[in-house]
Amino acid sequence: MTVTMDDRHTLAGAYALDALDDGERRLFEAHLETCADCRAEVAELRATAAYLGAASAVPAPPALRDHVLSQIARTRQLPPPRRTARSARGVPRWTVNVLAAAATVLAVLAISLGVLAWQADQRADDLAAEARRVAAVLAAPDAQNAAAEVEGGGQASVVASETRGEVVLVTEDLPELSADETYQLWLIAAPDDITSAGVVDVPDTGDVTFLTAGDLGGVTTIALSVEPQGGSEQPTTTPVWAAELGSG
Amino acid sequence: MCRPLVVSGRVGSLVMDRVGRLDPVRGSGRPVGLHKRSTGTGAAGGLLEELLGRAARGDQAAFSALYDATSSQVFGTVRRVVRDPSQSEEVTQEVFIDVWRHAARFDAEIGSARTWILTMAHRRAVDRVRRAEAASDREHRAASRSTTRDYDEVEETVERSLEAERVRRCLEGLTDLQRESVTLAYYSGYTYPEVAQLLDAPLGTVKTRMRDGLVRMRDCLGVSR
Repeated sequence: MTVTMDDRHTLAGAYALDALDDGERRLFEAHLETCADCRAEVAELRATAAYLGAASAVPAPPALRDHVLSQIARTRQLPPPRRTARSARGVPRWTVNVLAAAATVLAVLAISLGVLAWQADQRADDLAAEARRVAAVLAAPDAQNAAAEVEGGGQASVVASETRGEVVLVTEDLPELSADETYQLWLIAAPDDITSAGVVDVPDTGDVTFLTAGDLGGVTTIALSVEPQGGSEQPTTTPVWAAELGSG
Repeated sequence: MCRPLVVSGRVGSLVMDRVGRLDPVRGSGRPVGLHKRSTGTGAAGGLLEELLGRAARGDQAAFSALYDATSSQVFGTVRRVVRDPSQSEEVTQEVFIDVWRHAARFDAEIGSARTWILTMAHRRAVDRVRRAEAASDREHRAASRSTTRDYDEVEETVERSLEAERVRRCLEGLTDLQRESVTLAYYSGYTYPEVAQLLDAPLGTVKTRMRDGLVRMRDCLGVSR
């Protein structure tokens, strides 16, 4: 699970050439959000790749110009990005996102913990123990949060503590899967260094609080994918959800 | 490293940009906005950046000048990957609608306007061929395409400009594996695992060659952003 910075950075070339598939591209972009050096390198390599395109210039058919110009005349433009995205110099966007997400995670966890505690009263001590473990992960000094919307609907958030070696996944309104499919959680240190964190049994409500143990050394991204029942060794589909870890 | 001259005769009207240099507004021979001037954040000062900025505020005349300055580069980039002329036109049209819609999102801190536009063009072209081929057998596709075709073809299709010559020279300065990795990915739209298969090379090697190759190109071309 030891991944040097170089391993992750090697993908910068393939990324700049659009030679990554969608899944890897998304993972690499998540990595970029947290790596200013990588962003700088990618910017240069993209500019270099643009030279390759520019060197292939061929006059566009003249009729195309009229098509384009008449079409833009009736196409609405998107507004500028919200200022929060880059307003605070030195504070990367993901930090803002993560901080906002942390509030959600805490709110959701408060409810989940309440539910867990209630269930514990009702049923067995092991649930109470799990609730305590969840609380302990959340309270861990090195707890890291990440949250994002799930493709296809719903929300998922994680809290992870490397020292405790534990991850808590909290989902809301996850889409229901067919009987031969399951959700599976992945710990990703690099696109070629992915470890399963277990199959997540999501009830029909789509809401679950899932606690699992895992080695978080070097892990930068946590992802959720839909896999065949029983789970897979490595993800076989593009994750429906991927979140970059950041300290909360 | 100084300004490349246009060798092809396709330059229409010329305008002086604010540095007093000649920039072709029509035609594509000149790499407007991506040469020494685009060092660091200086890209914001280029003609294309200014046109894009005006287009972002709804200026259609500025947009049409931007189209004239970049359309053959966009079309050429797309056609290299997509091949089919009418599909290439469609994709080129999509790219420019995208440029118009997203103009306000362009960030000169990240790169020049030309890089921004050509990045969108290449991404869209690649998406188009991958979507179209997703249903068919990708391995078969990878195995059946010639590995040398694209590099050789530069000769016949490309508008000749000193910039294109420079790119060609810099490509020649790469090792064979670097050059093939870079061109198969960029010009043929293959993913790096497909390139690895085509070149019968390990995945890790191909990833590394793509990066090394681009880095060497960057240094050879004197690109900063």
